[in-house]
Amino acid sequence: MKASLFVTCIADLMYADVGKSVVQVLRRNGVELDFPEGQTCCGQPAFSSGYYKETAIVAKKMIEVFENSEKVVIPSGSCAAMIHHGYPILFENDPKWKKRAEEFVAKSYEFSQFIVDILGITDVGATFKKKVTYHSSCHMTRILGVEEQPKILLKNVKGIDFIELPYAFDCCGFGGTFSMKMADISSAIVDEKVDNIIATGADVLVGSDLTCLMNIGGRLSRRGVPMQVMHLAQVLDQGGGKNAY
Amino acid sequence: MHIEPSFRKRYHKALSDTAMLKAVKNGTGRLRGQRATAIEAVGTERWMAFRDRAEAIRLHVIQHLDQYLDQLINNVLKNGGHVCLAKTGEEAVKYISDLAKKKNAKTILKSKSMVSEEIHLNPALEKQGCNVIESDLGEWIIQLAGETPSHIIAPAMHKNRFQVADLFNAVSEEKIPTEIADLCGFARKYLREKFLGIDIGITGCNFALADSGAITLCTNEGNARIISALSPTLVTIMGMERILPGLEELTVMLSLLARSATGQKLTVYNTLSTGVRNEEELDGPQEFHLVIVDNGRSKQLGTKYEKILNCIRCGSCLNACPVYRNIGGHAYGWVYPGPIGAVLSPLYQGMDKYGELAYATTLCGACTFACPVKIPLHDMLYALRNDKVELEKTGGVVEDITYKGWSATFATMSRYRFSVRMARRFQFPLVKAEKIAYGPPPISDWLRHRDMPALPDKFFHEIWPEMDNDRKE
Repeated sequence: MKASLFVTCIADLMYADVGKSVVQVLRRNGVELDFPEGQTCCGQPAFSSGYYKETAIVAKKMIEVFENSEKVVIPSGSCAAMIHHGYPILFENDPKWKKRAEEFVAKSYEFSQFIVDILGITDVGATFKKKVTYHSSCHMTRILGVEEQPKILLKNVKGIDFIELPYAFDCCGFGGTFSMKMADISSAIVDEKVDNIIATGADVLVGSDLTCLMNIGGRLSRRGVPMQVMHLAQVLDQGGGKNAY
Repeated sequence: MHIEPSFRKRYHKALSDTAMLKAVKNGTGRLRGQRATAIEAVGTERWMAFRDRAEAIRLHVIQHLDQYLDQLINNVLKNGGHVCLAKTGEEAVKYISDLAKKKNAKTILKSKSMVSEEIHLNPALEKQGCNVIESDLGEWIIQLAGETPSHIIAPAMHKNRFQVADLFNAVSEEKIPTEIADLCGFARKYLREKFLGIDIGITGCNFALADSGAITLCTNEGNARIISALSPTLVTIMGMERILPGLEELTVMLSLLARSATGQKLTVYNTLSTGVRNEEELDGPQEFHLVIVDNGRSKQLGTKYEKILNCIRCGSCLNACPVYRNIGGHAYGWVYPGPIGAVLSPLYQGMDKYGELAYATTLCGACTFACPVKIPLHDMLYALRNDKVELEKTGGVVEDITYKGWSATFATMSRYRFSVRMARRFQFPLVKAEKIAYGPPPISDWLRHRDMPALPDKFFHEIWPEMDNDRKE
């Protein structure tokens, strides 16, 4: 199957290893992947701050960049949700772009959603002998409606010890600019999350949204908690055989 | 109660009040746990169908609000009641104050009414010499404390039993133990006596039924029922949107309200009152006044925020909200806290005063999913932020510059790649052990609580060509 990778700005700029793992996992599972030039950001930061006009400029560019893609895979629940839920709002009063946005929406998938729902694969052949817990990010579950797919994939990793996170659906407190604008409230919220994570006794925290992971990981590290933080793709890339490239 | 005008100062005060935060976390935790159990018992699918039905009922009422108001008013008048349609809070307060004067009322007993809090009724009545007593346990507690409600259905959620005991001891002749049963026992005894000397009773309104003019009151303490039975003059205050067509719709809403609010199948006391007593009846008021308050509601009709009028004030979105759970209700500043307050306050009271509340949210969407009548609360929070940028022409100086620059950079690949490479090259003075150690605001705000990784040696778009070439070879 052919698909295009929309790596997202956060993975591109701060977590290139996650991008690498996404490529590895997808290729190993038979996906012919390309990386369309010109991709930058889905526009979520500006959209969440109310700057719809500025968002639309970048969103139009992304729609153009992926115009010829058959499927688009996005290793981020909230970026995928931005396209699915935000783009139609952005182009509400612009029928021409609304139609193009809808076409983009129809072929865009979050990483785990693509593997489970489109490839029909629930075991990617990874091995990872660690105790892990999983943070369900808000926009991925509530807006995009992707809840079980990442957990199905995780539970089928050989050797993994999967522990459910208490209050997994509670927000981690990131909220984009909220984490800086109202940093003290945000910090109180992430502390609840961190306490729940620690209570699981897991060695590794796994998630599908790098911004949530940056927030939770940043707090874990500041509190001196020795816990590994990984994107789902990085776990699925473990012990999966030879490099796929 | 003095309310600090700066939201920032209000929430900082809240963040340092550990007793309050503990009480709020306990309270919200209990309520949302009970709600989850109740929904589990119903089954998620049926619950979703329930919500769809409730949403449809509320949307229908709001879209035909003029007709239903007309029907309601006619039926209340037919039943022998009086009606005041108040455009503003001041008008409503004046009507009730004048009535109290006319009746020479000394003792006024109230059951819980958020609208009465919204229009600041108690201070106005007290100013003219009335003794106003709140008969809802939570409302009475905060009345003794001289505070406002911090939660829509549990107004004293922010207080623990020790604080409540202190408040009760201030009005009690004998010392009351801090056990909850003793505290409730004292409140019952104290308030029971007050019910016997009511001049005017004031209640809120959960739902007014248009087809009969009946007022529905839901309480777990039975206080509203006693007031509606024992008051010679009864006043009911309602927001103008709190109407249902009739009993059939009420059954849906009652089971949804109780489950969403507290996880109960039904609130303990559900009273329907048509106002003035009939000749053959022994109790019930001799005079009934329905005060219907607009106060910013009608201006939402026909706007993208119209669905906010669906709200049945169950408080479920508060319990679901991570921000509410971590700052409590008072920090929001106006009478309605949490996500519903963050939307209502700027809409009813103005963006200039409460616009900041639209940013007091992580946009996690938990509120929207907790809402029994499916108000898209978090979409409205986005819309309010967009309104600020579009209508006020600014979302803040820093934001304006940031996002204009962002769109100019991120819409063009070469500019994007150039600027991120420049950022990586010049980040070195800020980096220590692969982490960002210092930064200007707003990065410094992030760094106060959390670490942040430095930009890596290679961006993904620099690695991709290698991965792609290896593949092709």
